[in-house]
Amino acid sequence: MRTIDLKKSLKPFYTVSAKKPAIIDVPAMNALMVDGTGDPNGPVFQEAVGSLYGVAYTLKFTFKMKKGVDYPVMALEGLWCADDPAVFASGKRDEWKWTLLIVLPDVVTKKDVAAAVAAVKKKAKFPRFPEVRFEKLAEGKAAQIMHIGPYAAEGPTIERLHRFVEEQGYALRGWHHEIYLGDPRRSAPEKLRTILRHPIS
Amino acid sequence: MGEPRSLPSASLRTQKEYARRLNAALDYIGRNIAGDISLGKLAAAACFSPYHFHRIFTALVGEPPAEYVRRLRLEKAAGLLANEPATAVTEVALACGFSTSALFCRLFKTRFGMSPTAWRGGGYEKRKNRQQESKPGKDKRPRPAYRWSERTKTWERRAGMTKKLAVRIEDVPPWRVAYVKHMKGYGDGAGIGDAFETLFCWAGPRGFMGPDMRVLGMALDNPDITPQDKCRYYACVVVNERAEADGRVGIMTIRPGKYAVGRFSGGSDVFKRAYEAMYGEWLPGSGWQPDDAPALESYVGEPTGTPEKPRFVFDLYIPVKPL
Repeated sequence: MRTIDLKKSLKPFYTVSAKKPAIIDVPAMNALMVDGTGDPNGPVFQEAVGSLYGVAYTLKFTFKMKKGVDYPVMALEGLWCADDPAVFASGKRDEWKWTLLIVLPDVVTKKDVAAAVAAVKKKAKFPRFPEVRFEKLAEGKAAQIMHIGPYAAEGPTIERLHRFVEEQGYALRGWHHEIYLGDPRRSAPEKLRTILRHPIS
Repeated sequence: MGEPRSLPSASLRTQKEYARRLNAALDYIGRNIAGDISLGKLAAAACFSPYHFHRIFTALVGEPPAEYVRRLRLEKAAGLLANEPATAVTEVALACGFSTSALFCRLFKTRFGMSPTAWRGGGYEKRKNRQQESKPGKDKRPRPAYRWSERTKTWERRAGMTKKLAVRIEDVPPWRVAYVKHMKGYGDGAGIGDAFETLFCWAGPRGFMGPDMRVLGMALDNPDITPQDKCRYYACVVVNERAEADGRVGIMTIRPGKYAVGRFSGGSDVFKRAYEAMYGEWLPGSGWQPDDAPALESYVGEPTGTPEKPRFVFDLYIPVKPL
């Protein structure tokens, strides 16, 4: 039996200061992903999160029981964008586009994911099963900062991150990236920890 | 000022009440040694719910009730055999609560390593002389947290057993849970993982999984009573009112109300230790008694470590009511 301690090997990219933003080089990582549009408090988003977790845990169990490899299910992450970025500030949540993801260790292949998705679909007997897929995420150079507090209060921290990128002579590219380290039920909203990351060039 | 120890009065009161009830159970055993002693009757004599009585008894006395009763019966029988040479073996067996002499002989051999007849015919004397020569052997059993004091005529907490156990009382709402039953025991390879896999495949697409999900385990049977491979376990995840039962996945509501909650972490053996600590060390000094509902294991994160040596972190929820 082999144990892959992803949390340890990826620690440098998940250890983030809340005091000042930093620039890092993020290695390419495989991930489970699911796309959607709309309010993160709505049912579509909840189903997407759940399906992603369902597949992630099925994969984890498959590897543990049948392949003798144990690894942790990583934190939920979200990529966010909109055709008109102003909708984030104005709160027009219907137009928010998102991709939710959970990072996978390299031992998990596209084929494994396809098998797990099929298994979950079959066992779940759920008509609207969101399309969970396998994809490589290659962000490269990025700036990031830790946000401590409720999700709704991210505004000022995001502004700080963007200002920092500009001051350092870079430009934002790609999607806004959030990594949810906190547990919204077990920790108080003012203590929730979220990494805010944005690729730069 | 003049008090020898400054125990909170509630704690002292509970300890006394637990001691009183335990005494009632032990008295009952003493009175009925020749008759039928079931766990249910014993629990009733002690005014504890049968659900939790076994654990409380085991923690306080140091051995499970059935074993305690059997030991007492065998020891009484051994005494009769040695001291009353005129009483037939069958009569001794019946006088000590054994239904047949065949059963008695088998249990006697297991315990003393010889037949009742051999015991009577000189085996007892030999054993007595041998034991007096050799030093008392080491008892592998964990030391019970309480011991009988002849001076105060109560059960007293042993010194050195007061390891700090941080327990809080939590008001639990009527959690609605989806569950998958597993009826083959609690061991690592017993397949509890399969139950969770089925549960998660169902719960995921329905939106009941996420970073904030609450995953519970309900161990309905005590492995000291029920055969290891028959213990029932429910793998649960908290859902909302929209969830509907489907095939292997059932829906139920957890008993709401007060729970005593302690956090534990460790390998596979931590579960047994956790139950022992809550029932044996904490409850008797707490001012609470267990209510008649199953305990819950609320997992904090997923198991870490290797599959052969997993490590768990969980909160153990014991349903309680005031004493």
